[in-house]
Amino acid sequence: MSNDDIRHPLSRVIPSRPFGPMRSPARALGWFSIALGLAELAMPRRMARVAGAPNLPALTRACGLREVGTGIGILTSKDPSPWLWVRVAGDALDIAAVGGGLVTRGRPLRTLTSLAVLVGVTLIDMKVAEAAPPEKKRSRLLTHDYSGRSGFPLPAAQMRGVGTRPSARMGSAASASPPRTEDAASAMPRSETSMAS
Amino acid sequence: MKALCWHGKHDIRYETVPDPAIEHPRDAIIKTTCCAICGSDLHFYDGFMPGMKSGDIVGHEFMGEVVEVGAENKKLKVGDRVVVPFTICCGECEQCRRGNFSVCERTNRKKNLGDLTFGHSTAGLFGYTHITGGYAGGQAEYVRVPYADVAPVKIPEGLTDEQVLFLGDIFPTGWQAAAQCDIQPTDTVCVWGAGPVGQFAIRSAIMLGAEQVICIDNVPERLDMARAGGAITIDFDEESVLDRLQELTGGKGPDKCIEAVGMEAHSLRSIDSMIDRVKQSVMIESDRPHVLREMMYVCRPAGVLSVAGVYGGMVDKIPFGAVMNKGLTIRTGQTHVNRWTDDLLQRIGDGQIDPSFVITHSVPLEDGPAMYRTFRDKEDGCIKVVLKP
Repeated sequence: MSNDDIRHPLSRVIPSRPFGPMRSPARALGWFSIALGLAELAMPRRMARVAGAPNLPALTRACGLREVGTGIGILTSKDPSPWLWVRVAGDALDIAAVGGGLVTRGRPLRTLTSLAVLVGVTLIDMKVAEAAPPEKKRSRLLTHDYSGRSGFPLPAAQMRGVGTRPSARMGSAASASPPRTEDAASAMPRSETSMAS
Repeated sequence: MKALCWHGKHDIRYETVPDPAIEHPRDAIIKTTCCAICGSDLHFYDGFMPGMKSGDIVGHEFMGEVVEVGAENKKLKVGDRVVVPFTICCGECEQCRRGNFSVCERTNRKKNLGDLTFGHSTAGLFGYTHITGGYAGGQAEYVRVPYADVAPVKIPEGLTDEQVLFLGDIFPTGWQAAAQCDIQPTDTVCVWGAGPVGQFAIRSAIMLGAEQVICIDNVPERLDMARAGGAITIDFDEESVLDRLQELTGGKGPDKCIEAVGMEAHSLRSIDSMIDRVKQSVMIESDRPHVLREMMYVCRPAGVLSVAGVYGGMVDKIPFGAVMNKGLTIRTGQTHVNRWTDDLLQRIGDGQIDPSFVITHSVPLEDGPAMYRTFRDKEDGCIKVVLKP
């Protein structure tokens, strides 16, 4: 069976799980992008006013869609690096858009403040994008060895089915596993092993 | 006496509280010798369980010595060593006589809350929300046990506390989860969650004859313990669960699926679970059902979904079309502990299983508040915490 044959159909639709730690700066930026994007989609005029950008709702909403998409990409990708660099590119566009407000809107203090914030965000995005984990499997170190904690007196394979028979002390004939039959069709449904007395 | 008391989200305190007293002639007072923190305790620790009140004594996994008995209790005597199931049952109502102990019709003394929340009330539980009766719990030096002539399980000589403590909850919970699957000898059983209940579900599925048992989690130590119990493991941080299950089942999907995760599913790597987190943060969804959705999609048609994890409220976007068209059976519920305890105690005594394998931390009761955090965050390889008053 080929690799494509064994893939579940839904795994082609649902993004693969990414490698990397759960708690990371990349994850924080992903959530930040989604939150910012939703705000831009819901309140484009207010967000443009706060940022000192030109009052162009369509443009602000487009930025919002970009932010939401980037955030989802960061949080669900196997390797968030490309999406983090998309954020950097988006930051450049935002700087250009807000800078345009400096020329057209005449609110220099607010616009300069927004530009300063954007430059700071850009630097953070670049730092996180550069430091993002590489696209290869990370080693998962075991801190404690629980390999000997089966709870069984025998290997698990030899304990298969003991619960379907009345309990007997281990080592007695009654507790030995019967030979497994090749004929699966002969298996009968089993009732629950114990009921209320 | 000293006890662990809930005072809000992430606020468990080791406090001095009044000793319990006999309130009904069938009661007994137990001096706790050993108790544990359960995964479902984390739901109120993290603030997800409604109906908690500041000062509630928590804990529903406990055992100890009988120190006082009510006048009408003919089953127990002072000095008996007992494990107390987390469900309180009367033994007389129609549900109890059917063996449905966790939905006893008499023991929830806040029945109106249960009716309001769930449509019909269920049994009282120790150390949990007032929706289930608000009974003082067992993470304490002493506990009042109502209807003590019904549920408590007498422990014979020769078995340690650590071997039998889990008869009160997680061992029968894992066993019921597996038994509800009606496991056939050719079945592949898949267990979501390698916490304590998942560990017992794995071993129970093996003992009940499953041909193959798979376990899904992302904590290396828990997966290690799952493999020790006979499971093939899938680390959902490292590979696609859907694809790996396809590979392991020849493209058919697992025959039986056990959910041992509950309402606080921790996966964040899929869009649906991200949306659940957002909705939960603005309180338009109370539970996170990512695992339920995944099970419904991957389960083989005509299979069984056995849900042992605790859910409290509402879940969204459930693919019920998949459930209906594939003819899946969903079996769930709080554990009917006394349905299983006689048999499981016998099997422990016969050496078929030693439940103490799951204990990773054993500390004094006064360290309980800190251990809630350790347990929740899975620090220091923590899988199961036992507390000793």
